[in-house]
Amino acid sequence: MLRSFWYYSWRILSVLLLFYVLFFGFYNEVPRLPILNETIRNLFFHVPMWWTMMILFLVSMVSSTQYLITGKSYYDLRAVEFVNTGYAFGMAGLITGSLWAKYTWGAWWSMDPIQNGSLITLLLYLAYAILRNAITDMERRARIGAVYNIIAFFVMIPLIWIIPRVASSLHPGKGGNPGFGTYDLDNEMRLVFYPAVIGFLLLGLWMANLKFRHRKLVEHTNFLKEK
Amino acid sequence: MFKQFYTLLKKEFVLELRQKYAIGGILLYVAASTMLVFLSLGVLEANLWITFYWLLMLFAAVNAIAKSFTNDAGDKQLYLYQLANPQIVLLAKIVYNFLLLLLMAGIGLLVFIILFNNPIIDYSIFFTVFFLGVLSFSILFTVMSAIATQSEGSAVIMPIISFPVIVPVFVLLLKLSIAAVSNVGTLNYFEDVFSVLAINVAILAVSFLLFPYLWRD
Repeated sequence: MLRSFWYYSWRILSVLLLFYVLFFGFYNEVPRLPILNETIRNLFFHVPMWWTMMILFLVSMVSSTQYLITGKSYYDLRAVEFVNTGYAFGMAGLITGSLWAKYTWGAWWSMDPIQNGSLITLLLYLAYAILRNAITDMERRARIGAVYNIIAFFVMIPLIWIIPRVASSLHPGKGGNPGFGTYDLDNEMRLVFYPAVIGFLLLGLWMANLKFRHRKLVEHTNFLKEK
Repeated sequence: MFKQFYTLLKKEFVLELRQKYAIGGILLYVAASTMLVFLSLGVLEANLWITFYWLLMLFAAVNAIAKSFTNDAGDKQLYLYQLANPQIVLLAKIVYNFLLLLLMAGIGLLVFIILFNNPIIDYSIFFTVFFLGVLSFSILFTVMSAIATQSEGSAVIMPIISFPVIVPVFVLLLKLSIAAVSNVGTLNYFEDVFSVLAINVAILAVSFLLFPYLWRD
């Protein structure tokens, strides 16, 4: 079945950008900095993960709000699948961050506020999944889940954005440290970094959208079977 | 509106005083868990003292607040929410839980000072943090209790959904109260107090908007 130009264009763009990032992320010239050395390339893969997670959780929060206003289960399914996909990106962000920390901070886990904050964020959304599974009534599950999802988003913001800034963190851009943007992100790196952010974001939206559509079909089939 | 709030608050007190085992249970929980820490450690340094104090209060507060919506469940709840404005119900519960936790944390403090020692150097900071902590616990846990009560097996769900939510506040509270028991000084004192208040206000505002949806069955 042929679909519209807009249906394909951003998906193709995502694939092209990610191939570009995979190639130039390892191939291009990066600044030679003490301690960081080649690990600076992690910027291309670690930072887009968190951005994608934040955007997916934001979409999920908006969907939950729409669910509460309209009461259509369509929005609830979208909220769930966007959280699930965002969760995968959050895990990837935690793992890439931990790998990077091993070679620059000297340990996989150094109890840094940003590491703890990210882990708590993942726990927060795991609690969302468990809370949903603890409610058997479908309508009530969707409603209570939506309320918790909205609250969770407002708790995540201080966890990731406020606490690491006020506590002493080693993370670039936190705890008074300069971010990579200040000194190290030269034009050569920008050429890969921004496409990486856009590419991974589009990939995340694509994945979440696929999962959402699949879930919708499954629910619809179940509905027809019950009939 | 104020009359409604007052009536609801009075209702909470009357219900609590009618079954004294609940409040007695909470106070005994604090005393027993403090004894447990005392018997296993004996002496506590100032930093550990304040950390254990807040941890025990956290667990006791979750237990105390977890059942705050179970009393009026089912048909009674339907009746109550037709009579009263849901936001006022939430506010009354929060204020009631605030007073309950104030009593609990106060007695906990007394037990800690009697069993261990009194490491508090700066009383003004300590009591500011004390009130902030009790306020945050009562707001966050009341909202979480309203959510957990809607699920099956709310006793398990309550701590699972409450602990991640309280973490940002708890970290700041610990950081602030360590300044009250040691001479390390108060770096970014007002910033941190402001952050705690801001988180509380944000959660309170969101819960006020969302609370009516929790009861729309």
